[in-house]
Amino acid sequence: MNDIARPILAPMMARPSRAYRAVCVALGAVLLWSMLAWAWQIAYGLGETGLNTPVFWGLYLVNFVFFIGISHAGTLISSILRITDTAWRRPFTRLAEAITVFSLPFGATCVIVDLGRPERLFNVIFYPHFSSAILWDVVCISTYLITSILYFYMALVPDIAVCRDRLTGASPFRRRVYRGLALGWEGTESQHRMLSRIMTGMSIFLFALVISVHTNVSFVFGMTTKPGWHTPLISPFFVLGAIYSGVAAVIFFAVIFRKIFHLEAYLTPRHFNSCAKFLLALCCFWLYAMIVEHLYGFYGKETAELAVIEAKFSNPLFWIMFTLCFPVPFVILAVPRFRTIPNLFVMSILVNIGMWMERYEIIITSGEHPYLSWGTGRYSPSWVEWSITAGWFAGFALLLLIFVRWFPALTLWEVEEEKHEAPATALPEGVKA
Amino acid sequence: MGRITKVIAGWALGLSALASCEDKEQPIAFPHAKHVALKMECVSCHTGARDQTHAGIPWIHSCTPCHRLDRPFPKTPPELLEYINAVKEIPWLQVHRAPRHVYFSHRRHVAVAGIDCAECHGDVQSMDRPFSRPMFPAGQAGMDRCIDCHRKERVTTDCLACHR
Amino acid sequence: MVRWGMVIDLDKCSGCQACGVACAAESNVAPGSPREAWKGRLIRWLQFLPQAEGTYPNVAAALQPMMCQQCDRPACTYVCPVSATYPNPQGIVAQIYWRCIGCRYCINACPYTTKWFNWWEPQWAGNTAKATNPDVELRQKGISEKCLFCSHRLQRAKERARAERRPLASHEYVPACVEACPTGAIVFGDLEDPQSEVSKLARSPRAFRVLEELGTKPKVIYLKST
Repeated sequence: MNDIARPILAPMMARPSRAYRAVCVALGAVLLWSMLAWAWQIAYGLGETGLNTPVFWGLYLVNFVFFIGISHAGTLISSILRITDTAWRRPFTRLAEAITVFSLPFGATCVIVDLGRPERLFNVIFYPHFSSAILWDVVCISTYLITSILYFYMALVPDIAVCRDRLTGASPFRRRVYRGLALGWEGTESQHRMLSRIMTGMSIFLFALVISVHTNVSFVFGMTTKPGWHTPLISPFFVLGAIYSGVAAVIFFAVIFRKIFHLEAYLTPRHFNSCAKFLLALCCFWLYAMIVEHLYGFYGKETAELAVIEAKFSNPLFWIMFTLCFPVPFVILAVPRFRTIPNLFVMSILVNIGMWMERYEIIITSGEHPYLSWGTGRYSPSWVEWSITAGWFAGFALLLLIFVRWFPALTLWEVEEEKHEAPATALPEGVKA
Repeated sequence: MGRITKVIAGWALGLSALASCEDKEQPIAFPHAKHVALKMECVSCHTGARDQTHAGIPWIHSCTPCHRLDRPFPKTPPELLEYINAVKEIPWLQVHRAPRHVYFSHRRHVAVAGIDCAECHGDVQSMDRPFSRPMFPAGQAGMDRCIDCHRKERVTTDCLACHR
Repeated sequence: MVRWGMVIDLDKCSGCQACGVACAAESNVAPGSPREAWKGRLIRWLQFLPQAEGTYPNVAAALQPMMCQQCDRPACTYVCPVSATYPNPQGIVAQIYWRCIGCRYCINACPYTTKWFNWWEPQWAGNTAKATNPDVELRQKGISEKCLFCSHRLQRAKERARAERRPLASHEYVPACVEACPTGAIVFGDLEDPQSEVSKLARSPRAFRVLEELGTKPKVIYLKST
């Protein structure tokens, strides 16, 4: 126990470095600025965005889908891989869950920012209309948020107990927080058994939830008659894209925290290698879905649908997106020699930029090309939209940074399990001892 | 859910009622009670109540047929006399006002449905002064009140029938 | 039960756009500014879809007046999370401005793009806001709006008929665009009544509905120009 916890706990007690504080202040400033931009938008109306008559949904919806998307990685890595008891998940689970919990609020608020009348938000609860996908989005996402917070917290309890016992030098307030949140965890046999039962149960529930949440997010688009959106393929593609960008996001943050907290001993190249293979599979699936979706459009030969596809293919943004989402990551992930941690880091950034652009392409291009010919329009986001986007990303990063100073960035008890199972993991992949 | 709705709605209504609570000082302390006691009907002064959207606020010529200098009865109070002599309108303050997004028509309710004025406006016949604030029997005239009655009377509850 | 509908004869339509002006005046649609027009944010409940007819070199341009198509199976009402838009019993697709949360889902769902969003507070120059139609609300920023077949006129007409204890005659309820059309190209009435002019015209072989293949069943029916 000692040798695992010490290097992880040590930086939590050290005085934050100047760089850390500078980054936090910068992120906080961006978040504050975005709040001002939002206030501006509320005061003057959605006219302050770049939206116009055919393009009714823009950057906010892109961010909504993106944030909800990366939140799925967390659940996927920690729940599905927990159910299947995949060994390499262990050092990633905490980060993945943290990404889920911290990206979800920003994803959910994107929709509120997008409302013309945010003060009437609760009409959705008071006067619900059950055939609307937005209503079910509210239901799904709030369920998801609550469940994933609980799940995250459950896995955190034993580690908070470690903090409570070991971080005796912490400030009284912080110690009180640890004492409260540890819920009297003693690490007894029965407590461990109960925890593992809860985690398994919640894992299964969350797995179903992840699929349904992102399917519902896709319903918001798919349940309209808009060309380009109105296809049943949009749902599986959304789920897949969500997991793809989410796993990349986990790699991104894992590399960063590995560096900051010197976790080289726990987040080994072997872990990254396994995660990269997983991502490779997702990458290939993504290409498959991409091709199938457009093939359907082509063979349907519907004028409006073709107009959207044509617009996509003639837009350089689409090809940049495609390059970032498939060829580049494919080469890095498929060739073992390229599967180095710095490469994976760069790739994870590119994939996330690419996936963000993919959502942009889906939402904006269809918006610009409605059925009837008068509606073709152009959309370019305004400063308000960019500010809020920047602020939401900054807020997400800020929450993560604050979190890792207060709580262990690795799931100590799971990493410890891995150490005990060392002989098993030494065997080749897929072979159980 | 309904209860939560009501609590929040009630809270919001309460706040708005607090905000609009200040009494309006009417120019003349018009005694409704005395006039009703003389067998006057509401529509003889609020002329639009039966066949128009707005019931209307009486103008000075609603008073002059009876309040005449050459008659000992009815007694004409000096403040009314001033207005009559100057042939000036009494600057009544409008108290009851339907919001602009609501289409409330008196004709619908009085002429078509035959609802008694007191049903909504309460015991005006015993009031010895004009309205100084919106008053409806049993609280506010919110949408709940409209809907309750519309349901009870089995008339339309289509939003478009009243909202515009 | 009545089902209000409209037939627009594109043969009779001269493209004068008087209906659009009448509509904007009747429904208190703010004139809008050059800035809004430039941004593509003008609100016009009744718009004109440019159509090119014939093949080169015998090409004729035409304008097809398009308002909310008042679908029998509207795509917009299914998706509204708060029932701010719904098909009412007389077949008018309603929009309740004070319920609307401004999510623009309905506008995106509408295949005709004939719903509008108030990106800004509508601007009324000088005192013109006071000269607007008192029967129609002045909208506020952040909500969507659309043609309601001048349903306030229906309310008025119904009320008058009931107060006079007689049934509503169909000529009593006529939307502003129909009234303004100088060529009589727009006909309005009850589609359920087989004797009404509108339902006779709707059965004409020239009749078509826009994007009929989507199955939204619009109650605005066009007569092909011959």
